[in-house]
Amino acid sequence: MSIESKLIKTTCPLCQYGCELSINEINRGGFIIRKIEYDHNTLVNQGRLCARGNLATRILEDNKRLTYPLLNNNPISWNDAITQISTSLNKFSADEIAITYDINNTLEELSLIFNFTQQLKTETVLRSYLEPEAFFNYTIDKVKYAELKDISSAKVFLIIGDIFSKSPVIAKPILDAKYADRNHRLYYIDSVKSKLAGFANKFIQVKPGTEPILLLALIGMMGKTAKEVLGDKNVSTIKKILPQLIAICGVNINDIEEIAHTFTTLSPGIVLASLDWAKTDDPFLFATLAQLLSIVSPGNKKFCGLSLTSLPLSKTSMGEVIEKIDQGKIKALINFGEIFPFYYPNIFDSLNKLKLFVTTTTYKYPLAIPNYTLPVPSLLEKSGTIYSLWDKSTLKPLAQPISGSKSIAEIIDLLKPNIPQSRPRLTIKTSVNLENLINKSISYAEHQMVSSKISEDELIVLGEESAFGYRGILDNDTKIKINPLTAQRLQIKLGNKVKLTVDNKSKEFIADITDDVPLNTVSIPVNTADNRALFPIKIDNFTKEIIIPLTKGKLTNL
Amino acid sequence: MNDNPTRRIFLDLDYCIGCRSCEAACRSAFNEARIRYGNISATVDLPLACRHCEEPLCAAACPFEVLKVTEQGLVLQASFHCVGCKSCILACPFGVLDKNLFNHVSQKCNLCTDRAEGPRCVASCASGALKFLTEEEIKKTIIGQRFVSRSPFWRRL
Repeated sequence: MSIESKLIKTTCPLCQYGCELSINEINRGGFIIRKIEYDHNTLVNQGRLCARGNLATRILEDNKRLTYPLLNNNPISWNDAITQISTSLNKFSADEIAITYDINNTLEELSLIFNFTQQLKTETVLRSYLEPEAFFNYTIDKVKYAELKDISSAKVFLIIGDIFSKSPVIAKPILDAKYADRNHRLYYIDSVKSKLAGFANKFIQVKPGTEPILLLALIGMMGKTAKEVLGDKNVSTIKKILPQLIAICGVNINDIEEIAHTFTTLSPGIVLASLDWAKTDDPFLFATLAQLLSIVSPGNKKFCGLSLTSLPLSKTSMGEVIEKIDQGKIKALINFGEIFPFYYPNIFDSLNKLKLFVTTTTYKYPLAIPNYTLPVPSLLEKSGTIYSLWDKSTLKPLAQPISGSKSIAEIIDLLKPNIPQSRPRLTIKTSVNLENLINKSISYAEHQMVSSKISEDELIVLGEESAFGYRGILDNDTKIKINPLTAQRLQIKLGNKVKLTVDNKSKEFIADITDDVPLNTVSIPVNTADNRALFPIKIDNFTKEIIIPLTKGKLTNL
Repeated sequence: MNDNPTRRIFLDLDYCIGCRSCEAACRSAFNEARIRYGNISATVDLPLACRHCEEPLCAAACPFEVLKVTEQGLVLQASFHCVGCKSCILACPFGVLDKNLFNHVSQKCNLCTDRAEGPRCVASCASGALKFLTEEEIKKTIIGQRFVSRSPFWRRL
């Protein structure tokens, strides 16, 4: 028996951090074993991987992968599927067709998708990646993005949101820089007391959903440089309402003053932000104010948003498209990607109204899928270029595409043959007007002052994502975190079975009583579609994007 | 086989962020976690690695002599003879053996003897908290000299 081994080095595509991943493929007479190698000499991660990266081999060999096309959840041959889709596509005018793409496409595939839309003459082309972190694509002109070496040289860190759960590999350079000198500072602002709080010099636990307001208050406290960037009038308006802003967040003003003082005096520094599921009513403000804070702070301050999704933005946004589908103006939608619409089950009501809905996918999802579902290779099996947090990186296929799947290039070629290979321009980020932003954030804060109270029997439900729970492969997503005082009031004990009800949907969980979550708040993992289905979606008035607002629910003891 | 058999897995509490990357790395190589991420109490959760004791109680408890101390001082398991009686799991005073059997065999850390560079959990550790050093080497580092953590808001111990 012949034994051949081959080392494949690629960039881990499972988040945007850009870790280098190497896999040793051992071929024992046709029987293939894959093992992850940890190469200490890599630049970004020195061989370190998070739980997600360690799952790469499991994802490749997962038996839940879809290997044949589906029509209304019944198997159909590739030929039939393609002919039926092409004939029905011809029935619609260009205005009635929408094309979407998500983060699981390489840049080469994205340009093919853009060419395909030009052939169809439709202008409705947009991203179907609805995670809150996509809001980091809205940028302010003067923002300076941090590079990896900036993290090692920083003296002060201001972290908003749990970045260690998002990309755990970032922990090493941050902690090394923090421990390098006794005077280095790490401040952490979040509504949930995650593990990161254990490493912070000061942890500020804000009321759920009030992070943008605290950021606005901090911007007002930055002094001279804030006035230079925003103008005297704006800064004095913020200063006037400062005590109210701090009061909404439910934090101690001395703590905030200490952070503002240290952050202005120490340099260089970094503002790191991460947006989680159902964290705030306005992820747009969260993402842009965090950037603004890095600009208005004196000294050399940079910004890093985890994970900057780097998907091309378009004129249309998902909110507008959903409205048009509901009105019957858009009748056909083709999605190129892996997770939409399975990760956003609440969007199904609108998608069911479509006459033709085609989506590509990699997994057999338990939810019923209307119309056509086409299996494609996963991002781990593709070659091409993707954007990572630090740079563009090259993907190499870790395995042969799963049998029965067709690549996005092949599908596009079958639907519209001979598309010219011109490269359309991809606009990655949209720039934001500063004046509008300040006005919007002040009115948001004023609105919150009036309507931030919740009724006695309702609880705020937060979502938490973790690398270990990725797609529910290792962890089964059944624990709910409850505040001890809330648990006492509802007579829930550790390990009890509880039912969480949001609107008319409910799911059973096992109670985990911890003071990580604030009073009258519960937190559930959102790695699987089941848990995500509990959170209702909303269309944001300002950006017209789909957002997952702060959610309220009820908890009953079983 | 790694070059220095007296090296062991150590944990630097100042760096452990609880991402469970070590457990995922172990599961990716051996299907079941041999380094366990233990919820010791409501606020304490840490990765628990086998200490490869000088007088291992797991080996003493094993009725079929599956667990044995090698000449290099490692406690290794010949899983072929293991009947899954769980005696070793009950005997381990540190609770590092997972109570769940995989393929009816108890899961015992072998410090990745198949990998020249040392254990996979250490190589994979996202924050660099796990270290693979000898007792002399660890005494020279900051972990071996202190009993308290550097983090002011420390809450896991």
